[in-house]
Amino acid sequence: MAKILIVDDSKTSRKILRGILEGAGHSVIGEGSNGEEGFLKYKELHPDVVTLDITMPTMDGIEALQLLKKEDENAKVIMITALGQKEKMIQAIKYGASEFITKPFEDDDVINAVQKVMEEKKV
Amino acid sequence: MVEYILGNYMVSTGKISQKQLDNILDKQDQVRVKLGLIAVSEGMITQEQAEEINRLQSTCDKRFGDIAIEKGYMTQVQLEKILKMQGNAYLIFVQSLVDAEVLKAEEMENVIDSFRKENGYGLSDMEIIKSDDVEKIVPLFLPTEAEEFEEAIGIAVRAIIRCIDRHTYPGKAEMVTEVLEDQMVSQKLEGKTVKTTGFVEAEGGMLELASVYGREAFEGMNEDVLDAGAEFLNCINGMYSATISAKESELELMPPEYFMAGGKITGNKICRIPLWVKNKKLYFVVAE
Ligand SMILES: [Mg+2]
Repeated sequence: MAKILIVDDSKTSRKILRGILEGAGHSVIGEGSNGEEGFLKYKELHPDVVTLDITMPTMDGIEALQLLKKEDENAKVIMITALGQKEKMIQAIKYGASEFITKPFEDDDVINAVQKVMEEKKV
Repeated sequence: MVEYILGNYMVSTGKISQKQLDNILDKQDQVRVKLGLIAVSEGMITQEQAEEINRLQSTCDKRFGDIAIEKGYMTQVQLEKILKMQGNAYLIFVQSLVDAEVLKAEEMENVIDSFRKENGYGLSDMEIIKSDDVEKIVPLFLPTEAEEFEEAIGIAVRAIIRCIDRHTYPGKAEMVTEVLEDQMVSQKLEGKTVKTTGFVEAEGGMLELASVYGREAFEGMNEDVLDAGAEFLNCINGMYSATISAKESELELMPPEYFMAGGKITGNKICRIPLWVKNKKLYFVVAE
């Protein structure tokens, strides 16, 4: 089971993600509502996995991803995105994102993405 | 969709009562078999494949049958066969009206005729409505000036049908000079031009939409309702961006915004279409 940090500007998205992840037995150890808050929480909490929303005001997910990876090159980050954001996804891959989840959330997609990242982590 | 469009018209003209309509639609809902169930029971696809298609359907702008064919799970001929088995929603509706003894079959022609004339539709338009094909019905509700918004509106309506309420139906859209309403959500999409889309609360439709998307039974309007509405709008705009980027350049989604008071959408061209979600009204707006 993974210790997870959720970073998303939307309360709705944070709540849905938390519900799905806790329902699958993971533990959500923190939440951040923007990129900067997410970065600070990461340094404080050392989660196994971060779910990071791409579309956020002030500091978006791409910028936050770069900060996280600079802080910890082994950080496991799952990007949350709407459909049709290919350019942002290409950037995210370039900066080391591990997985992607497309909104609207499907429980199985979320659970599978976390499982995949945790397996990578073991290797 | 056709049973809701015609059913509500019949209620508004006093042909049948709201209660009669609700009863008929309830019964019809229990009878109408899902395409996935028919395909599985006919041995065309497996239960796992049906579930996979359902999952994919919620995140993209495609119909069940389209995905099944794309994935190679089913042929076009097989799809046509199960569509026929599922039956035509209009005829099932007429049958239900007759069975409930609220209308005789021959009276339906008058209903169709007055509906057609009142809305300025042609005979071929009525065939489209009877076909219950959402993709073709939605454009009938748009003014000609809204042609460039047809795709965005179509994607929004289909997404609401797939993800929120499969009985969602539209009313007549109109061009407006600005949208000034207290409670709304909006999002800018930046590409070759800047578009804005939004949901505006009217008679509880936003509350219904937010409750389903937010997985929470909201009781009244508050910021959480609007946050859920804004997130769903973001999903819809992502689907729209994916469609547009296949043809021209990608649209970048700006963070969605919400307003508890004094919301506003401006643009050179604005189209507003009423939608009934769980029979409660809200507006979807597109502006450029
Ligand atoms: Mg966001």
